[in-house]
Amino acid sequence: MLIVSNNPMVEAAFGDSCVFVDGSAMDVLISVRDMLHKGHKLLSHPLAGSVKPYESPIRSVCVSKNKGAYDMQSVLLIENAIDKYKALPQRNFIENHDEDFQLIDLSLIQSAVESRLQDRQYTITQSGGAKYET
Amino acid sequence: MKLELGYIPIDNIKFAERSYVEGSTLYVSKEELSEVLMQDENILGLNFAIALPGDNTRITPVKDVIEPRVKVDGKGGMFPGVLSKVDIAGSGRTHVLKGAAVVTTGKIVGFQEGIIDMSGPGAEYTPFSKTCNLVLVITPKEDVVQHEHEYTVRMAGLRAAAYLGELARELEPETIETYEFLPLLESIEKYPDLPRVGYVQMLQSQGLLHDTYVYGVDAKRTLPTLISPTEVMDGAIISGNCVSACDKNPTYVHQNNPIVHDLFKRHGKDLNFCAMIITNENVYLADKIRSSDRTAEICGYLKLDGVIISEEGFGNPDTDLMMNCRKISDKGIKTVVITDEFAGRDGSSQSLADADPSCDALVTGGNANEVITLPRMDKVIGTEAYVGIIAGGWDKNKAEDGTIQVELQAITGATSEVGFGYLSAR
Amino acid sequence: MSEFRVVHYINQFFGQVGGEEMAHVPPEYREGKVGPGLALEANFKGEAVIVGTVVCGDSYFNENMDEAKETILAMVEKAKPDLFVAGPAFNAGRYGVACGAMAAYVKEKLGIPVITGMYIENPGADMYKTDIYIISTRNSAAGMRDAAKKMAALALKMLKNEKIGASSEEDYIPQGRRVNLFEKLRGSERAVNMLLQKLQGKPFTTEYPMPDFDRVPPNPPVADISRAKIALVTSGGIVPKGNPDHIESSNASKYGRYDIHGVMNLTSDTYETAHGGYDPSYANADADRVVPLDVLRDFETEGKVGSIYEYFFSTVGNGMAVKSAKAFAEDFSKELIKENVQAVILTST
Repeated sequence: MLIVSNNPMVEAAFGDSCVFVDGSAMDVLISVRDMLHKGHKLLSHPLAGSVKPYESPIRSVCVSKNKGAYDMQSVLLIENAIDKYKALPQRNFIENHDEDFQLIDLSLIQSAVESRLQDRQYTITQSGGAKYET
Repeated sequence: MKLELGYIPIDNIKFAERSYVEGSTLYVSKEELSEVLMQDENILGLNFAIALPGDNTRITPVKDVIEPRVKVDGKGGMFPGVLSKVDIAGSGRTHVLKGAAVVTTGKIVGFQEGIIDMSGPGAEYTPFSKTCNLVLVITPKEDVVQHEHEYTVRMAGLRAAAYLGELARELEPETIETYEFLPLLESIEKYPDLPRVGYVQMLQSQGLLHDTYVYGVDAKRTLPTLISPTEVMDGAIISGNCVSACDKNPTYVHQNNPIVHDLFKRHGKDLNFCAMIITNENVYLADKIRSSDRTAEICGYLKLDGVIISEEGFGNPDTDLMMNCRKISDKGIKTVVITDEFAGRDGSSQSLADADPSCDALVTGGNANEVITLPRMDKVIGTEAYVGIIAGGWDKNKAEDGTIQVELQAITGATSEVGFGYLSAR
Repeated sequence: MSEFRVVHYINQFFGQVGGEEMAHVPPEYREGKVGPGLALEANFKGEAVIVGTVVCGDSYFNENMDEAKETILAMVEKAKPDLFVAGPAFNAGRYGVACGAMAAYVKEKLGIPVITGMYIENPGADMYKTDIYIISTRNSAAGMRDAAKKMAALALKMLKNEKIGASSEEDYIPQGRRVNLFEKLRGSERAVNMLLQKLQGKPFTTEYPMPDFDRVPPNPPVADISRAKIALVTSGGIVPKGNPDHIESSNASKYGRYDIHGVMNLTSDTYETAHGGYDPSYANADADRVVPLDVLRDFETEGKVGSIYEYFFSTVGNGMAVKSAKAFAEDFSKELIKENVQAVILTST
């Protein structure tokens, strides 16, 4: 599994499994989209937890390491996420909370990684069902 | 399972030398309560404040709200698996200090929201402007990391609620409500002609500040399961969910889950409320598929006729919601979902992050992006510094008239997705 | 406080000029109220008065829209109104478009509040609902009383700068913008009620309709295109020169069926577009740009396709209600099936 992320904490935690994006949360989503078009599959939901998508400058998304057939469901999810992200304005906070956002993001992605570990073979199919990965 | 809820109405809280209830006033001893809470060695400092309906007071950032209750009779204690030993809740008798609530606040991370205004326009949007609140302001020791901090605040709230609830043990309730949840076969035998209705409650379960616990178990490590609604009424589910102030379910809302109450109201008359299923909202896509598959399988196995599905949070849980709705509908079961909307400040963006044609009966808690102007409050319990303020004054800027502009999503319980409030949108 | 001044727009029918045979009459300004203005003014309850009424033929407005808009705007401006009301148009398509277009134009140019009313399926509703408040009415003038009451109520709110509630409270057609409101019942109780309605097969109204999912699954590919009979269909408005069927430039009420036996090329001498929604110069210069008959004839000669069906079907998609489009397609598809057409090239603009 690869983690596409602009979160330095995720990079530190996952090393080579992290594809680090030096840019905004939107840049991460765009990078993920490009990878999905090359045949990687989406493994975690591209919208963060309920820290609203446009609140956090930090984003991490899990994709498969292996490339396979173009996965329509993955592409639809990322396109929807990008749309939603564009539609809602970035919010301003009084102080800079980058480290807190990084920590939350790391925690969310860790929960995805833990699920992945107990669940190596699954991936999603076009119909939204699950199938075993080879 | 038969649960009696005995209500002792409370319409005032006062600090006193010792803690007790007299008439409808709850007297709280700071010293006694401190002693209970300071058993957590992560706590450096504790402050208590009282916020009553109509006060010129703002509480923020709110972490959780808990209703003080005590188990008088029947199995288990308060919050089994968390505060008391593991046991099955939901039967016997529980006394409730109705009208009182414990509210916890704390920083934890720097972008926390959760506003409760006790008066003014903001008060209309939060149910906790109508309760008498004992607020805990908790300062952790310096080396306490965020995960521990969250745990500390969560436990302090539960302990305080249990401590206050204990004061109601020997009191005579003013009213008693009885709720009975029969085994499925008996229920069907008793109401052969009524439609079998279930309730699917989705629990936020994504990581730090996004978690919910069922009998003490982190919901993201669970498969969907059947639970008696009386168990939920009796403290089986607690909130560790500190984000998404507007549409998360504080522990208070789990204890008083309005869908459970309103289904019971029609039970035996218009419908047979014979199943409650809890499921989770994980980050990992395969988890979403697995949980929605299982939820739909259970609904199909029970041959339900209709199901209400409630969401918690926004964004990626919309995908869980649509998967649940589609898969349950595919079993030939009629569905109604409850959610809220993030349609942008002008309301013109797509409301949900996902959609499905099966979702043709939807109740909304309103557009959480709508902007509201809140007046300056004489008293702020906690601090306004962490709220995502759009415009207006805050601590650093008191020279202005002190009003602040926020989106409704900053207000605790404003767009409840279990339908605890009256807000909607068209 | 003095009364608010209102100017009212109505068509030739409600202006008592005449029916369809008088639809060509140009706009005229009359002092005071006319026809439905009586019902409206009664509902203003003395707080507003209709100072003048513009009466205009529906065909005239729709066929000379730019000119009509300017003329009427000048009439309205001269009366110095505080509010402009159009209709209600109920289910009358061209009247609805005129009401919507005129109200939106007055709002844009004069910056005063405007209001109209129509039936939800009136094409004017879809075209203008995001720009202006359109009260949702019944589909015929039998709903006049109710429409006048609701239009007047919302009009007074706008005049007095009061907060406008959600669409379900004021009964206007949703504008594609979500507006919050407080309901009388809490959300959980509304959900239980909705579920009971659904279980009993009774009508219920979702509080948030899902985005439109009206998608048609594509047919399997044509097995052998070199043997297939192919038809041309367009919503780009290509018609024989002179538009013999008088297909309307917007909100078309019909489609045309045109013989192309022996026609190799659609030239500027023989074909043009009736479409009012795009710059027609390129389509008029060479209609093959919209209906690619020339290339298809080449393919036919080269044996790349089997044959071309000798009629093409055309309508104007501009502002067309989905319902009309469906009805047209259902109609001419019968012929296509009967004539063993195996594939259709459908072009739009």
